[in-house]
Amino acid sequence: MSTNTLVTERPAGGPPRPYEFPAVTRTTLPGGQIVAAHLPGQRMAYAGVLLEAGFVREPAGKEGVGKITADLLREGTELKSGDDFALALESLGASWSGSVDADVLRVGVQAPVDRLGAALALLAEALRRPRLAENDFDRVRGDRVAKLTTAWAMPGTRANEALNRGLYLPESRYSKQDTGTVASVSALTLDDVRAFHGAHLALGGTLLLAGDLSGVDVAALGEVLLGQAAPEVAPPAPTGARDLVDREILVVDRPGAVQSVLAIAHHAPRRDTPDYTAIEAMATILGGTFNSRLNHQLREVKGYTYGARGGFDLSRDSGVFSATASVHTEVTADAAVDALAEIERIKTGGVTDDELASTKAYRTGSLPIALQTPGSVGGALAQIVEFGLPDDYYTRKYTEYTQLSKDEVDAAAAKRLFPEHAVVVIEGDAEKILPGLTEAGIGTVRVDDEGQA
Amino acid sequence: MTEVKSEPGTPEAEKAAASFPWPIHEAVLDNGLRVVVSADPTTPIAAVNLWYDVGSRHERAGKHGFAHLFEHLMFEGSSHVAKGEHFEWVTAAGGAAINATTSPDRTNYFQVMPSSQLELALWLEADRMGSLALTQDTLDNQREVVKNERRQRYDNPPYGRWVEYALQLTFPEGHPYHHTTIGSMDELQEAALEDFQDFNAVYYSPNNAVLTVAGDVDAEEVVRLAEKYFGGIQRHGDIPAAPDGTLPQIKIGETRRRVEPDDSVPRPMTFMMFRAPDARHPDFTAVEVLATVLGRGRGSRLYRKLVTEKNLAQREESYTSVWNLAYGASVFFALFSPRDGVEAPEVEREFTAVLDGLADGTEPVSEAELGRAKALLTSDWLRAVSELGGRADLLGQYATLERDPKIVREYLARLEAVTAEDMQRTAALILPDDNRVVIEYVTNATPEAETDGDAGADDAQEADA
Repeated sequence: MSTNTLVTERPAGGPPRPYEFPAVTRTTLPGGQIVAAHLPGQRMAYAGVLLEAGFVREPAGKEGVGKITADLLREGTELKSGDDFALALESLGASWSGSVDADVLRVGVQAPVDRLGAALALLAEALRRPRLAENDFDRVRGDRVAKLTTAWAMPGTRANEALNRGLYLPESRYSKQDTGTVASVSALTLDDVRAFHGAHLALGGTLLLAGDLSGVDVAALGEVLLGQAAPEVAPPAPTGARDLVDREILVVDRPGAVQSVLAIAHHAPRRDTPDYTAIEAMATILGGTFNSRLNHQLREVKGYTYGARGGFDLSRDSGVFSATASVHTEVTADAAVDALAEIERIKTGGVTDDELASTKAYRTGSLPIALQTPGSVGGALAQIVEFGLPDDYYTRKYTEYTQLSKDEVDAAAAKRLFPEHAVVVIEGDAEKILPGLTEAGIGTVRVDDEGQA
Repeated sequence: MTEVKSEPGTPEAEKAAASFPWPIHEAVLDNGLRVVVSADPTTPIAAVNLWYDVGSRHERAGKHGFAHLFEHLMFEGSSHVAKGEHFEWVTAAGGAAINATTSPDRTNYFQVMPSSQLELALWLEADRMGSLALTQDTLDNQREVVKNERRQRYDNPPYGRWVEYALQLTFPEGHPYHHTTIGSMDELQEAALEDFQDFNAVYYSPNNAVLTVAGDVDAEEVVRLAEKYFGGIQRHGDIPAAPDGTLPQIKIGETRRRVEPDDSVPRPMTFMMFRAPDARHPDFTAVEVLATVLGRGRGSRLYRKLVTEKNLAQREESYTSVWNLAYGASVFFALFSPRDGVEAPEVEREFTAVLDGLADGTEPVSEAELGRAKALLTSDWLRAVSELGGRADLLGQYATLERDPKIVREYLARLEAVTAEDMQRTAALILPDDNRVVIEYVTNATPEAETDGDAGADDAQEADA
């Protein structure tokens, strides 16, 4: 194709139009707040309720009760059977979503904006007046146990579980899977669900709205959900982080596996850390994009994996850095060595000017791309509420990125990464990978067989 | 010289087109590249999507998985772009959502840019279309990456290979849809550099592609820029016809069953495939509605029957769905997992009884069920077009598969026109037991599995050898 005439100069492009997050309005009601973002012209809308019901509030031994409670909301109300409720909601074209993280539980609906009121009324009915019947509970618990059993057999779950036990003391809620274990969920009773619902889901919360709200009576929508005062919320139990001294290599045996799941992790600061933006930029360079150092080295240079990534997951009281990849069994030790070396390299050597410039442009440019839809703006509002961020947080973040310096990012790498104290979990065929891992000399290797579904 | 076809973007015309109220502007470059632009100044970003009319259905025996491996090689550099720089420059310009996918029917490449950086994306796409660097080094590297992708998606997870088994039974040996896009380890290992040079020379030609741009742009300006960056690329000649996917009839003609005893799977699970009208057939929208009525969501017929009423199956968000294959036949897909203590054959009996009740007209679809399905699909559509990337993708899809992007405007009207009679007609065509492939995973070798005498099981073993 030598006859093709191509433009040789890479186009320079112009400066981006600065980004502004949609204006946020707040309305206070007896049970909480309405936090709303108006998105002119959007034909779909999102309405969600954020509740102080994250997994840190689950009582010891009741791990998974939050998720089960959220699941049961869809199984009918005092007024409608589960089938009737589903038919009513879906006939509006509404879809239901639910999520639980460490700190909060969120349930929501997406619907065409002219049906938002009707969909929200159904959400309110499900949340505040759920049926919570014994036969539905038995069925939903069975479903959840089956899902956990299946997840246990999927690559990665056992590694994740071993990682949690490596990072936190056994009594810490964080040491157990987010959605509970087969054992903890199997032991739950309907009374546990009723107690959790009564304490955390029956009253109060924050209503999140995103969409074209020009014809919507926001206060009336809020009244349906937030008319009654919320109960007092007690602080959750302490985090229970384990002190990490030397690097630990934990092998989780998965006989016959053709790939190993590699995960390297250690503790990180809480979400309100003042260097959050610097940490985020550093993590983007290390493992956040396709051309990050980890993916470049493990995939594009070595061909060990389909993809490698790394980043920080920060909650109100705890934080974790992790780097992960699924790698071909035969190269497991080499991949672990390379991944640790990349973490060490950015920690000691910092980032380059080009990497920083590129990452600043990427993080600012991708902000409006990520926040195009009512669902994604709803998610952004949830972050603002969950972590007590200012309403113009995403607009400010844009500016913060433009001002970020290399010194700040290098300092974040030096201070927030410590591969020498990391927990390294490798889920794979132990017989095949143990000799290589021992020979690699990256730490004391131990087979971890404490895990259970 | 550029031939430009434009349509009046009057507010009235836009209002009438509820499916897609944004203007659609089309042009064809002299080298055959089709350009489709949809302007919307609301947000300062632009989605760029490039569809090539080539997928795994074009592959020949012994060279399966090559269309997908080629997609990987497209990110490995060209005359003015070094390995890794495509991603690097897009992200460094503030772009995101960069990727590519390969399906049986087509391959597409996409990225979303700040609109001030539109030209960069056009330049990058043009450079690799016109001067892809194919070297033994990058082939060897990406071959390993794809083998790891195969391990991660197919070989390592439980149930990972079901789709391979199912396609082998749903489409005859040699049919373009008989194999998956990922290909086999052996064939990937044997791939030679010349194979990819040939592939490039045949299919990655401007006259086999559609460039779509949606967002904060001026349509005439985009066409001018397309001419600037792509206009110098020569067309490679006529594109050879793909292997014929025509089937003598939609129906498979029998039930084909493969029982897979596998101790690594945690629970029994059954997958089913039925051949269905292809994605370009007038009945395809009705088949999508049918899948939504029967098996999508908490309020679907299968959920209410199998989970709420009889308590036989694990709950799923979706028991049925449709794969939009556009040539030969599409696939209506179903799955279930029995609840603890329930045998899979019992669930399958009840499951197929629900399908039969609709197919034979004894349990026709009600207006309420139809309304629910249409409401859910309407919301899906509105969600898809609420993102510029989704709009660019749909325009590329209609321009490539239907040859006319403006057909995107017809979707909601087509959906609205689907009737209960359409449900019964399509159900009677595709759901009966003479059009069914069943892949049954059992957690260990049960007596039924060992003595399974179904003719289909033999076919499967042969196909897998």
